[in-house]
Amino acid sequence: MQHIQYTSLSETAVLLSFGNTISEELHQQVMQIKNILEQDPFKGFVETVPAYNSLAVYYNPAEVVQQQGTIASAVIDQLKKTIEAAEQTSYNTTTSPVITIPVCYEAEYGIDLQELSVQLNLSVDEIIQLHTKPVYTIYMIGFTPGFPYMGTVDEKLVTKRKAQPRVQVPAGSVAIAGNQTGIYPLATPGGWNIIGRSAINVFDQQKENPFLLKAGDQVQFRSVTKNEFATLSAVENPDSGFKH
Amino acid sequence: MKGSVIHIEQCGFLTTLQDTGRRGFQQFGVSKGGAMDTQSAVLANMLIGNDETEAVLETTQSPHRFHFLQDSVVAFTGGGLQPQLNDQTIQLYQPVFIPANSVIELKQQLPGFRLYMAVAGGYKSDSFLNSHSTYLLVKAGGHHGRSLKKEDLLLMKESLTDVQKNLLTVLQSGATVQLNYNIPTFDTTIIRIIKGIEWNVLKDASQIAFTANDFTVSAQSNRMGYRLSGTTLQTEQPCEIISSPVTQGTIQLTPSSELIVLMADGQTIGGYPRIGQVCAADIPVLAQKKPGDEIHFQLISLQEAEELYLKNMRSMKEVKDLIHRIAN
Repeated sequence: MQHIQYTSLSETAVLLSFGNTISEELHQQVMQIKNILEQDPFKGFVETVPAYNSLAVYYNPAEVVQQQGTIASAVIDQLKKTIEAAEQTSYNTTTSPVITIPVCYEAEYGIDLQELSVQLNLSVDEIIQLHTKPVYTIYMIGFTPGFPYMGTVDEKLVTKRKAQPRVQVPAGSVAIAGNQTGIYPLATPGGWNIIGRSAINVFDQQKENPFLLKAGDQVQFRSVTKNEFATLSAVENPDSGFKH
Repeated sequence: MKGSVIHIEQCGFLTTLQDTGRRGFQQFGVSKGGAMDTQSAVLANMLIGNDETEAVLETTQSPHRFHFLQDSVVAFTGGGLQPQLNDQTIQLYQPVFIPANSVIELKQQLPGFRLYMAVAGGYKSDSFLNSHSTYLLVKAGGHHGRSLKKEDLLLMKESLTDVQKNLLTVLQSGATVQLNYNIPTFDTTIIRIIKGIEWNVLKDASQIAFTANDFTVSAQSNRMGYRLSGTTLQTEQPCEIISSPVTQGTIQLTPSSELIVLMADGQTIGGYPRIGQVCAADIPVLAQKKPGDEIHFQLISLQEAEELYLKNMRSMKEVKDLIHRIAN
């Protein structure tokens, strides 16, 4: 296990840092520690936020049991104890099932595909093939509610962010930037290159659990035709009046 | 129109229902949200015997006119605007009786930026992810997920606790309830901070300049974050970090040397170095600053910040006990 560094993010959060790179292995450790802490929460524990190589642990200072030193140091001692104890017992990592997300890569939705095709010297079909081939890991959810940061994109598809971010990206847009891919759940500003539109909502505030995805999940994209996209979207959004 | 209703006859530019925020969903990219100045929001509730997590109205310094259709007990806290009832000044930080069919106006300016109005019993509002806070980005929670506007009707819950019924009777009789406690003020320019996770990326001279010079709250500030202008701070080398958690009060240094302090609706994860962290105790003070105001950062230890945090909790508890003693 990578050496973990503990630093206070605020009076109500400690940040656990796991090395200085982005790697699948480090991220698995982040998720493993997250699970350990959630299964055996200390007194005052509130929530965790995982990222690529770090994990924030939020707590309520008034509830933390503390004898001496700062409240933060009491929390850190407690975290170390919990993590050590869990490492003694053999801990099974469960692999997540792969969630398939249907995406329509038609030019109407993949508004940057033509430009990328020239820039990357690949045909649009090759881009679609390269994007749908890997099983991606969700490293974190952030930027907006439900936006998944996924990797790793095929090296032939590595792109720069747009120099001028769009003021508004259509909700459901599937995009790439650097070696990452993501889905914009809401119509928000965005600087990633848009290559398609998801037929399913990754964030639906009408549902009791609005989040389809979480950090640690596995995702694969499947290319669908415009017709199939329309059918799937109509099922997803029965009230949207989506008709063709 | 009958029942417990407030008719919004005039409305300011950013008037939302807010509570103490959402917990447990930051890992899904959901901001904590809630009142910008949580201390004032909680105090407003406590003063009238509400649960401290009840939603309150957060106004942003601009004129308002509220028509109350029924006898109500309210409390105003925070700043920015002076509430008036029939041209009579209403005291902030104490429970107030509003007779049916009266109009409350907020027009004269006060120090501060955000005035809070709590009503005994609470407002009826939408819940989203266990909170009644208005989440503007998602258009959910609070009053249909949006800012209030002219002609809106705000409904109130009609269930008063025994403490609130007593309070209503006392105030209806014409008596005032004066509470003896330390009322928060917002005139200080000092904002206390602790070192951020990436404090060390700052050049030595910039570490000093950070707390030696004043910064100005820029016009591009909102509920998500405050942008600050002033001394240009420099890092030892160009510094971008692998995206990592951020929280309310995190001070980020952008590549264009701009400082952004994340506020209530700030994101959960960021990619800029976190050079400082505003103490929880001073986030309410910062939230009461408006564009153009100057602030001055003062570095304190984590231990001091924790002590301030606990001290604040204790004084809030005292107010809560005080009101329950008076109204029982």
